[in-house]
Amino acid sequence: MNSSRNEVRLLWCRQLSGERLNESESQLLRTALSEDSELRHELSDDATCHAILQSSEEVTRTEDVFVEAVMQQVTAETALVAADLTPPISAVRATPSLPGHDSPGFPLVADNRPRHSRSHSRSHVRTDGRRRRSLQWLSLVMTLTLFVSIGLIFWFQGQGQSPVAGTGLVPQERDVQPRPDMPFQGGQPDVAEGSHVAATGVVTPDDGKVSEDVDNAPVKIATNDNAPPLPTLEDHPGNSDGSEPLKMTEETPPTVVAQSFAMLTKVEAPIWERQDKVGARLGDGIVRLFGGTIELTFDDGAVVTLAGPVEFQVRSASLLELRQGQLSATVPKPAIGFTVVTPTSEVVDLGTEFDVSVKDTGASDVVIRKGEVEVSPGGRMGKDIQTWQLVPRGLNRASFFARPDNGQPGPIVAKVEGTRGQFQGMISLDGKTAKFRSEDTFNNVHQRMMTQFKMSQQDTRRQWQEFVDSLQGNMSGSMSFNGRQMQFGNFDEVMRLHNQLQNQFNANQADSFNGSININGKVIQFKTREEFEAARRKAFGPAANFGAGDLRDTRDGPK
Amino acid sequence: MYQQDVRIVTRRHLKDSLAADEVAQEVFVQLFRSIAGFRGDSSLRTWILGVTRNQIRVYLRNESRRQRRSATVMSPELLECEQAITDHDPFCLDGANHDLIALQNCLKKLDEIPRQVVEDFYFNKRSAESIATDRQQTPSAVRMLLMRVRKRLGECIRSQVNGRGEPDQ
Repeated sequence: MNSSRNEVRLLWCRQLSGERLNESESQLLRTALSEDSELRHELSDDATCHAILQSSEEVTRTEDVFVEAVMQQVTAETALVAADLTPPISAVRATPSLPGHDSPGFPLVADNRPRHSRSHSRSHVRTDGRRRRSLQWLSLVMTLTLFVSIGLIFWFQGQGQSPVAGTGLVPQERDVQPRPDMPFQGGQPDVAEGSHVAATGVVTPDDGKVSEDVDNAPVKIATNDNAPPLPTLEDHPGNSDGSEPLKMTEETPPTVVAQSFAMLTKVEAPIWERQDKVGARLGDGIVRLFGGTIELTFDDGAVVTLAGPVEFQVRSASLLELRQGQLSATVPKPAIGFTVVTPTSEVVDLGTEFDVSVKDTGASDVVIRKGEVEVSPGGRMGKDIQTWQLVPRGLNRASFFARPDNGQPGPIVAKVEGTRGQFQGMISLDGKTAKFRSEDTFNNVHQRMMTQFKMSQQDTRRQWQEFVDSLQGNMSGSMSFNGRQMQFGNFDEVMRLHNQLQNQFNANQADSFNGSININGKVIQFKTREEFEAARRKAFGPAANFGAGDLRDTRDGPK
Repeated sequence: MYQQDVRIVTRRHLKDSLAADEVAQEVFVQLFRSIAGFRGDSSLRTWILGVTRNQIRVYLRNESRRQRRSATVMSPELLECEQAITDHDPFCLDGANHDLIALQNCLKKLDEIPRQVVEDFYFNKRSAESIATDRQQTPSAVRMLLMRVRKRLGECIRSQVNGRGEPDQ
């Protein structure tokens, strides 16, 4: 009992830390939670504590922005209703709105809200151009303040004084940029009774410690972006144990130096959770850009442009993981070997310019613009299965298909195409790989493969193995079907033959089944549909399962 | 008012913090629309958290339809079967701001190693794998350590909020 509980706890922890469980693991967790009430209580408490820990800093720090975003929506709704109802709405309209919401760097502004609310807000914003212009001025002033602050930081560095003493970290712009809630200090209406917490941590350039702004009376918790993450606890009625307030900056300076491999070299209208600006360095954390464009210059020299929405992770100075979205990479010679990995593919640069896009299913596309790249299916064995070189005037684009989202190793499917109609396709399962030169054949087999895989993985794996083995055999011969003669010399032609028959059958032109299959000198006669199916399976063997499937199955579409 | 409560509850159920805040914003818009319907049968906070839970369900249902269940910490089915637990409001007896303050006290009382691991994971946003590499442990060991720490913190927060003093650490 305990061991199975521990197993469930481990699954729970994995899920909580962002890992994706496979189907059987999810099922195990679900079952355990629904059957074991004690464990359910335990994990429920755990989830709450996890949420509080996750939120402790951010929820407090972004309170003003959050409240502002809500106010914006409410005000927008009010404005819509106000067209018809004046008296009750006027009171709400009089609610002081909060300035600065159009400034960059606020993560919780209009674009993060539900679509219908967003459209309300937009209509509101359109009707309030004057206010918007004043906000733009405010943004400009804030930006100038930011630049002055950065200048001061660098000046202090030049004087040999570290603004962030003892941390071992190179100070980043986010350490000194205006906090989202700064403009509201002192002028903010007290909309959150008892919970309105203004950030007061101020970085002093000479020692980097957090000092309290005593002018802000309602402050309960002081937080600061560049301080170690635990917020400083100040006097509070609930702090009745007489213990000293927590001063993490003084007592426990962080010992971990964040890794960073690339620098932000261009930022255009970004919508993201971060507040990084040009010059900031990106480490190995996951970055989600919901809108706008950024450019990264890797330490090895590769320049990558990412347009939101995109989710990625900089893994090293020459490796980027693109989880979703699209990027364009320009790789100079010193950075040859720069690699982009996606859920389904791996792209190794050989000195070039190329684009990669990843859909939310994990399917990815690679297009070469200049030079040469090597592409292969993702994963440990990807390169062993298939590698293609893409060049602008030959095979110049590759597509890697999504894999079944059930946690089990599924078929690896990819194709490359060229400007002059060149085509190569590949389907691999359990180490058995079939390669195709005909797009139609590839599409047929792929479709049948995926349909069967959804119905029965086990059967599909067995049939696929037999199918790939059968492709090695000789498939030349002819078929006579209702008096019509058809020749075939390889698998592609068998497929074409099958498609012709299927078209006839779908058009109800194949009422009778009379004829024979002559393969490798052996003749198999048939007079009924059942005999035809048997003859076809006998003639083509396992290849019939994936290539020329049962006609009865296909008339109603894939099952 | 109750901003922190609502946001923590939404984040408790939604892995994506942006989605959680989006739902939380929608909760407040809903509250604005329906505040006239509050009859005072329960406390205002209970009513607000009820609206929050409904809004989370609506979001999860819509997300499920869009086949994005992976975005949830708990699946919609679990949310339903877990309703009794969420309704009894594990920590937030007096409001989330008290929880957050209690959390600071409790964190301070942790031993050095667990506190450092919590800081790395939650505040420095490092992965369990990365922490495990530094500490020469397996990621599973780090995750289980975090779970034990959360349990201890949970007990500590509860005891502080309930005003019964703090348990021995």
